[in-house]
Amino acid sequence: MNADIPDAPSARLFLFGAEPSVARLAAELDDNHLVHELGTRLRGLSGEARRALNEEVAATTDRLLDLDVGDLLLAGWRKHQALRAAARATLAAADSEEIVVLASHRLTADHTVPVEILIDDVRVSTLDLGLAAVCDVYGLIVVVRRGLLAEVKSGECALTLTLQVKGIELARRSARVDSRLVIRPGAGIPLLSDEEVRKTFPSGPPVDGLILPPSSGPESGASG
Amino acid sequence: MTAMSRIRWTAGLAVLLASCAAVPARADDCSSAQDCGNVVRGTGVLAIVLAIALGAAAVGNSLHRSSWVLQHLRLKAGQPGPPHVDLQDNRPRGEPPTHSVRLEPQPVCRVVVLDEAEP
Repeated sequence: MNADIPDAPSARLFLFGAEPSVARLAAELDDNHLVHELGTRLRGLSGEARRALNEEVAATTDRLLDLDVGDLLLAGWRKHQALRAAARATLAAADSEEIVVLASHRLTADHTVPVEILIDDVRVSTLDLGLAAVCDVYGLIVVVRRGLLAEVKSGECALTLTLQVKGIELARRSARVDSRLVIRPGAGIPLLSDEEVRKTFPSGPPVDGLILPPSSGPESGASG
Repeated sequence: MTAMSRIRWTAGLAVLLASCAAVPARADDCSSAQDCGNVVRGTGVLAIVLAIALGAAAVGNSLHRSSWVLQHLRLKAGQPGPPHVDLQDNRPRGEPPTHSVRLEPQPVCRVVVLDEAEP
């Protein structure tokens, strides 16, 4: 593990810190001979043309790094049975809340963006930009209210992020992060989709929408 | 004529002119120390001009190639799909399983009676 980091809002900050990420990515692509992986039509590029291509790929890859690390974790926790059950139960009884103590678990998330390389608008190659997260979560305690993740009380993540382009590993970093800094619920983060709420409450949601004024009460007592 | 061709022509012309001006005679023909000095100086100037011309040609070449890439090459990012997510239990021995505590306010059922009493 690397040294602890205080905050990890974006994949870019987590992987590169304050370092200029595009220049670093372009250098990694050049060192790893990306052009050789892109098919015969691009192999004949001269050194300068290859560097220009690598800079273009690096700039596109860098945009992927805007991704919030917390969003990757939330995509996993939305699948957690205990959190989903708590969301349904607290939707059914609007004034209730559930404190969920999650056992240690490993969450893996793969995010892939396909990119086409065009010369004069003719596709000459494709590549996949991939961001993979592996997170071992310990001691996570959250509060669920009205179907929303309302608070993160405690929890630690041993997070490893890996950035790949066409199978070439460009960056990798591991660090322990405080869940409370990665996930900022604000007014609450929905744990169920609108469609799931409609399925759970076929006669209409017990309350108007997911975010309710404190005085509102349930209109029907559907299953939790 | 492209920018690249102009750079090549200019470099070639510079080398030619420098050669004519800087080599007045062969070293064998040196009749005096001044003539020999001219030959040495001329050769030095020729080398410098040649180096500058080659450098300019190389820079022009690389600029041309990278600008070609920028003009003709384009990257088009597709729509990212939803992330593929997986959850696995990673509980060490002895750790309790996931559990939750539900807090739900209950209506007050007690009847509160206030009695007035004479002091």
